[in-house]
Amino acid sequence: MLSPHLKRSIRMAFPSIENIDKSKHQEMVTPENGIGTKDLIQRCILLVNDDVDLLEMIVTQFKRHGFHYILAAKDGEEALQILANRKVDLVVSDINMPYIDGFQLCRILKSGEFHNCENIPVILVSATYRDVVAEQLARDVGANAYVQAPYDENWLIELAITCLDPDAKHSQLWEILNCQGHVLVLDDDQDILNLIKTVLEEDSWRVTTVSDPETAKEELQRDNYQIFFLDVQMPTISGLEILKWVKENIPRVVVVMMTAHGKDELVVDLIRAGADDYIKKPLPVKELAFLCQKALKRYNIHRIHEQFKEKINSLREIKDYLDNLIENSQDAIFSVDRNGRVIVWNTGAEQIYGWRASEVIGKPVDQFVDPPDHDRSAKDVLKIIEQQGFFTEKEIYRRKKDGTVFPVNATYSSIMNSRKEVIGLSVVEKDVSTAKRLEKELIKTEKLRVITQLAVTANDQINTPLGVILGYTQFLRQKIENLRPEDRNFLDIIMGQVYKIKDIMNQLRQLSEPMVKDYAIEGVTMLDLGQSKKVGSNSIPTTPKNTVKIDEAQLM
Amino acid sequence: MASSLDLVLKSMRESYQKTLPDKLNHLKELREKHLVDELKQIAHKLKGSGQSYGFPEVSEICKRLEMAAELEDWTQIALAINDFEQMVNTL
Repeated sequence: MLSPHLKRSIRMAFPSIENIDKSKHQEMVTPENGIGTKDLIQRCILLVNDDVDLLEMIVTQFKRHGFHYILAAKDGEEALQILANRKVDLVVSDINMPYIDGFQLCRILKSGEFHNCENIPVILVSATYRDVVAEQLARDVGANAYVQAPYDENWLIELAITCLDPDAKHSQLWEILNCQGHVLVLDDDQDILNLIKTVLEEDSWRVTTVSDPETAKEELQRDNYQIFFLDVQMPTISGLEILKWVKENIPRVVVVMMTAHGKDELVVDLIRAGADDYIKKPLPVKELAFLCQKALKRYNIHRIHEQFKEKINSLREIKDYLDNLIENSQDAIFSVDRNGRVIVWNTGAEQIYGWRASEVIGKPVDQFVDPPDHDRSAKDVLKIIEQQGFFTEKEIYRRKKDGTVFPVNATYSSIMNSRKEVIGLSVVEKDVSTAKRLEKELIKTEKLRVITQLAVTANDQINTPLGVILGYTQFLRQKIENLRPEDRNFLDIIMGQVYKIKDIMNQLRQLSEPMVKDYAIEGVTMLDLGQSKKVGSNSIPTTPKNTVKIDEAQLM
Repeated sequence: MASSLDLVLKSMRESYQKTLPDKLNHLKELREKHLVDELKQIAHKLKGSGQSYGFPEVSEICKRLEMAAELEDWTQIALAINDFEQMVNTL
């Protein structure tokens, strides 16, 4: 049961985001031109916020508008201490604070049990709580206003001034502050319309009455109504038809049907058609306000539900996007929990490692990825992650399902929960074995290039002395007539060896000018090397191919 | 001590009471013209508003009147309107 104080406080609220035209409050409010009179700015304002920078900013804002008597508290506890000892005229409090949050602070003040503070206006401000739930909670704890941050400075100040000013009841803002909600009533009986309007306005509801269904439809589309009282029996169109139209076109509005029939079947039909509630005529006039409170809660539940749906859809879209991103990645992406068990294993990981997701999910990652001699477990990586957030490693070795060990570049990142606790890690790995192979081949190519250069040099340098040796040997062989057969044999051996050297040098020369299709080095073709000279069609030799055998190991 | 709502309701009840003679005349006129549909409609409205304003007897008589109009029972219609007149005169 609500205390009378709290009930009154609930009535005091609530400037809903929906029904405030902020453009009307954009003018700078100053003590000179605004409703902030000299008296008002001497009122004591208590600002409560656990963020010192924000607190300082709000203090500055109030001071800028001429308020001088400002107290500041860094949390709800400190605010209560101040409120117990000082006279405060207005509390502007953050919601999300340690120990005692803004909701609790407001609830305590409005309870009527704390140092006569129940009549102090409370404005709750929050950047954290930004939804209908927060608005409803603020309303329930009796806050006079709930403001989402970031907010317009002038708007906050005018709100504060309106809460402080006992003469502000004429202002539009005061009406908004006091308005519980906007109600539309459709009935062809003017007496009923007058009765509902008068009774509800007495309870601070804003009420519009219409007797024509078409006007009601226009009103519902034009303005932001929360509650719609609808007579079942209308002369031109049945209330049931209007109800169906409302549910199809403006489903957020809570529809309360009014019926003079009281037949069970009708009630069933109404509820089936989407009526949120119904009342029987004669109207229980003293229950109308309570009925509206109930309907408003229902309206807020609708909105909360809609907001949740929107958030869930938005999260679902983000999830689908991320799933796609992960699944379509060529890199291996996997995540593990704190125990090193696999949570996510994408298609890239399946292709690189050969393990299917169904084989690894829920099992220790170490038994699937690390080579047998690897001495670092996933838990060790988690420890590093906890210290430094993320890290990368280049060319570390992993093991595939078939036992092949291969190099990867890996990036490790922490996965945290909302309390910033590390609950696991994600790993993105790129298989660099192809890059490594190409790198090795590039090195081989470089070595081969050096060899061919040496061959050219050697050919140039050795051919001349060989020619001299060969020339003089042939000369000696021809000029010396009485050459002993064994000496002639020696000269022939010399010439034979020289020819052999020339032949080798010739082959080396050819190696220095390789024909793409002519040479094969074990393990590496000249085509791979890309270092050979461009070969024109005319230069393709017709002679049988020569093969220079070079052990690949020599090139390493 | 009466609440502000009670005071408002008292004021509305008085205003409503002042409209009852006109409503009675309207019913009589419809009966004379034998406009049964309109008669039924007005009776239905009065059935709903009467007790809402604190006149349960208005609702009770008009409930009978609505039913009689539904059946086009002019005897019962006349009786109900007669009762309505007596009730207005005694308020």
